[in-house]
Amino acid sequence: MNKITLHLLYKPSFMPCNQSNTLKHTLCSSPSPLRRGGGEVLERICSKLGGGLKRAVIPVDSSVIPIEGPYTTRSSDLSTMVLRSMDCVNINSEYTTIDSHFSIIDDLKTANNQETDLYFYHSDHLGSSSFITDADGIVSQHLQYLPYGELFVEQRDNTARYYTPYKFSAKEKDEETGYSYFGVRYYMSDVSVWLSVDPMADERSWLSPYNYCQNNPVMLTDPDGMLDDNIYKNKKGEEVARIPNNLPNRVYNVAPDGQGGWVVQNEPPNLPGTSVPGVEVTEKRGEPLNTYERLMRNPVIAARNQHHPIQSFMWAAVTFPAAEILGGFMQGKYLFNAAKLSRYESATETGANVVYHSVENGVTRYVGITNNLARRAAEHLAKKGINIEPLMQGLSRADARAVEQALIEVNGLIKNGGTLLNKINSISPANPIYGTQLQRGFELLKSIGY
Amino acid sequence: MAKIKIGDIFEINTSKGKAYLHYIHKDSTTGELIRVLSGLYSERPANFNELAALKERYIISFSLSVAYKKGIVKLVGFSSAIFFSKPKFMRTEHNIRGEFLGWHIVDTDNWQRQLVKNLTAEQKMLSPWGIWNDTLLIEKLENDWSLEKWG
Repeated sequence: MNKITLHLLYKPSFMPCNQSNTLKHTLCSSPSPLRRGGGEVLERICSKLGGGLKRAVIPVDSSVIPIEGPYTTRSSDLSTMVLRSMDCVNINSEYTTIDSHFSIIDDLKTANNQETDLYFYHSDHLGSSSFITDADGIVSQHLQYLPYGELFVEQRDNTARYYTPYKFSAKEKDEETGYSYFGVRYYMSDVSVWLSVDPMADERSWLSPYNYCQNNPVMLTDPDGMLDDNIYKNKKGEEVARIPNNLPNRVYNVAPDGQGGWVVQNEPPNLPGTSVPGVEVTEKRGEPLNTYERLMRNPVIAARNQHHPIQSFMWAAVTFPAAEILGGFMQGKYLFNAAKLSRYESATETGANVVYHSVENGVTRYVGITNNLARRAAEHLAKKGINIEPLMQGLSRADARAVEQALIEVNGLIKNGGTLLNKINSISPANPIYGTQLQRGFELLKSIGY
Repeated sequence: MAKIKIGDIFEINTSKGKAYLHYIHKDSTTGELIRVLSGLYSERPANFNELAALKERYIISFSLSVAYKKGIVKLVGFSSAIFFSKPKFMRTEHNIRGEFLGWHIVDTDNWQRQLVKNLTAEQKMLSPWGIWNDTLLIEKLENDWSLEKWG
């Protein structure tokens, strides 16, 4: 980028060209309004190259040409600058032949001049590349990671022409060294440490300066390799609350305060919520707690999670009805890796599963899932009296399990003091998807008026 | 063994007499819907059309075809069911951990629920939402369970 009086010259990162490798147009525009005829307009200064220019190529940064005079003069001078900056040859014709080092453009052309090598990144909640798809939506690359970013699975379509180097946390991973470049530091995901100390390590003296994301790589990201933040975002990806870095390294819980705002608790489930000094909650919208949120704030239900930081963090998702923890965390209904991303995105699809519960004398005794409710009911003929009460239908397996787990939380397993004869949870609280799926289950139940 | 059809009337034995079930609807998800006809009988009634024309005790989902194959119920007659259809609404208790929170009025088409604290007279006549097995059905018949007594 070169500053030429009022104009900024941007070198295009890609140049359009025709099939004979000739470049006809480029664009140089002003970032600030130019005065023309007394009015302020955004003016395209130069869009065509050529015109008998024969000047030698000189380093573009070595000189600054004042742009004065009429528009045609400015255009010509800027054309010269553009050509210099691009190191072009054969500039004395109307069409400029592109130098050989731009031959990569050949790979981006087709007979009809349409660009086909167009790829899209599909990331998980951490921003890690999970699926790469081409212009037709075909998956060309599929990546999964272990929690600390070590590549777990990489599948490639052999016919694809591009494979992304941007992998864990959307950072470029060097093929030869295996290091990921985060900006300030290099990270070695294979051994889960940074290769150098955090330049701001003194802010967190209780942590190793080589640790990655406070040893919480599933929930936190480190955009630049320097002092990651605890940032809470809502469903729209808007930041709701930020836990300053100078607070102790612990898990915080963002929950509705019951008065239309949010409260950040220092550790769930300390009820009622107590604001943490120094924690800024930027969003003040909210809804009163509903039945399930109140239930989920029940210390009996919540106590199980009290000493499990990740689960506690998940708990924040449960008690945070209109918000999400971390950007993108809920939009995809996924948490851990690409496989789960795929699986839990599909949770929004319809399915053939039915969630039911059986009731005995007004007490819910069992919660179950089936894809054939009539058959399930028939299996109980000539047995103990039972009323199988259908709750939800048309659910994917993932959604059905989410609803089932929500019902288990509401009614409780007998072994935990509840009423259900179910022996185990549908989704283990130790499972990283527990929090998100639980909230999904409650949302689904709420959707039918339960 | 003949395949059951809508309109068939089945007999089920209880310790207090024979009860009769009128098959009126087949739901793709919940299975057969039956009217539990009024009365318990020591002898099989001669005219099932008359019996079917009486107001039923309640309507309930029941695994009728399997019960028939297993010999739990007997096919004893037929009475057209063209005047009977799946109820739009049914009801169920809403309990959490044994605590009664109200009644759910369930839309049987989409299974949407509406919670009400108290039932209106009309809502009180709504049949129970759920699939009963034969044991529960017999138990309810023997105990003379009715919608009026429920809630």
